[in-house]
Amino acid sequence: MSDTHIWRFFDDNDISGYTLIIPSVAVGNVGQLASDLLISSFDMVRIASVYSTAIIPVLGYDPYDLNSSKLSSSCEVYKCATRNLIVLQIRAPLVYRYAKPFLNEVVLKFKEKHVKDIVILTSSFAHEKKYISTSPFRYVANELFSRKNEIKRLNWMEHEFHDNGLKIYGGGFASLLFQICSEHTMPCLVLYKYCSEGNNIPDAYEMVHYIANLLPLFSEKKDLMSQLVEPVSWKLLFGRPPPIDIY
Amino acid sequence: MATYGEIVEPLSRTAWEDWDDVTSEDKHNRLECPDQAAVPDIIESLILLEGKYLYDCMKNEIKNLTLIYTIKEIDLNVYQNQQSNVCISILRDYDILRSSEIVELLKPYITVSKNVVTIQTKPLTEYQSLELTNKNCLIRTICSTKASNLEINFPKLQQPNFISGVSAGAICLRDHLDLPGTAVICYTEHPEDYQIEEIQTLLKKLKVISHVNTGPSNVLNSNLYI
Repeated sequence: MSDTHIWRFFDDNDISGYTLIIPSVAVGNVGQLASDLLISSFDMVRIASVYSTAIIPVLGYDPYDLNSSKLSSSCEVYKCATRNLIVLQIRAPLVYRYAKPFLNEVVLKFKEKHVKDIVILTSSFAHEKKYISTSPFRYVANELFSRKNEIKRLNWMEHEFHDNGLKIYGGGFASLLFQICSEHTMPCLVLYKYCSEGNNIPDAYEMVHYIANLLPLFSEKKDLMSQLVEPVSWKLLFGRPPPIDIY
Repeated sequence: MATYGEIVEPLSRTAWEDWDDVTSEDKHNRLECPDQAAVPDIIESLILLEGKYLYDCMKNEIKNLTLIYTIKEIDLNVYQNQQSNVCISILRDYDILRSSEIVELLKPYITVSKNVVTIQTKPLTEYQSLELTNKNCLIRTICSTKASNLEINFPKLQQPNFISGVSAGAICLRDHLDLPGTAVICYTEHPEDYQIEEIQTLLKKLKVISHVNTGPSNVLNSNLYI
């Protein structure tokens, strides 16, 4: 069986110099929730949709606009021109067997479009955190990532390498994507948060706060919380109201 | 039950692959299409039926259809109604991780067919809505950007509801190829207890079944003596 990857671009404008955010499907879906928060807050425009055998198919209507009749699928690309930001939102887990060729294609596609760097947002099991009184965030950046001095100034804690290669337990495809980025000389940063499954919306808010320290995404004149807009699709994240029959 | 101190993943996660365990790659063999599976030159419609309810609906109808191929591993059967050039694919139960592989297997039919309609049943409890309803059956659709000429008139599926699996993949692929496709989702409380008239009528309209059966399919309709 051959692999299929179909990219459908709705907007082919120049995206060179943009930062690309890719969430990894991981514990608590923190990266995906943070990406949702960014897409909704910046009212980002969908510029592409991807069909791939590497992703479990999901389909619905636009989760950011209840009145929209636009389809929304497993993998879509959103753009915010004013902030030089792109988000590749992934709404379903990747199939391990087909993931590597797909992630390779993702990196090459955006390298071809001269994207500045890739930021991978992910999470790791809370029980993997060893120093309990430290920040719940860790980062890994490759040599090519240009904001390393900025990270040092922010005093972020670096991921601890114990053996060969990057291993983030519960972090999904983040390690594999980081490895692929490095192989293709693409500047890359992985940011992850230790968390547990449950209501992970607060984790997503924290992650957006954290990344906003590094990337100039929000206005400094206003409170950051007031600039964040929750997607409408989060309203029923924990199910519908109780049935009337129980009263 | 977990022992004290044991870390147990939530049930919702157990279906997914464990990316921390590299051996998960060898869980399944790759699906292959049988050699004899010839794709008809003209397919008016491909009807993809998912789930036990629709599988049972088709039990008495398959004798009138020509079997193109079957893959027992995933409970997939593809039939053709030669009089109407309609292909019918029936999937009773499958591992969601194999959804995109199954779509890839059905791709020759999905791309050749003039129309693709997928039908599935889901428990009513999975339907997310702020509106309170006491209906025991809701039918919703998701349509590709390119409009279909088949008149399937059910309300559109409201966000944040979505579908996943083979039906989602088939319609998503059609949309990416700029071809028409419609997913019909029937949210029902007791799919095995009675026939859903709207679905039966739709199946008849799509030339999948020859007659509408709206009688109960529960124990009263069986040969049991009560």
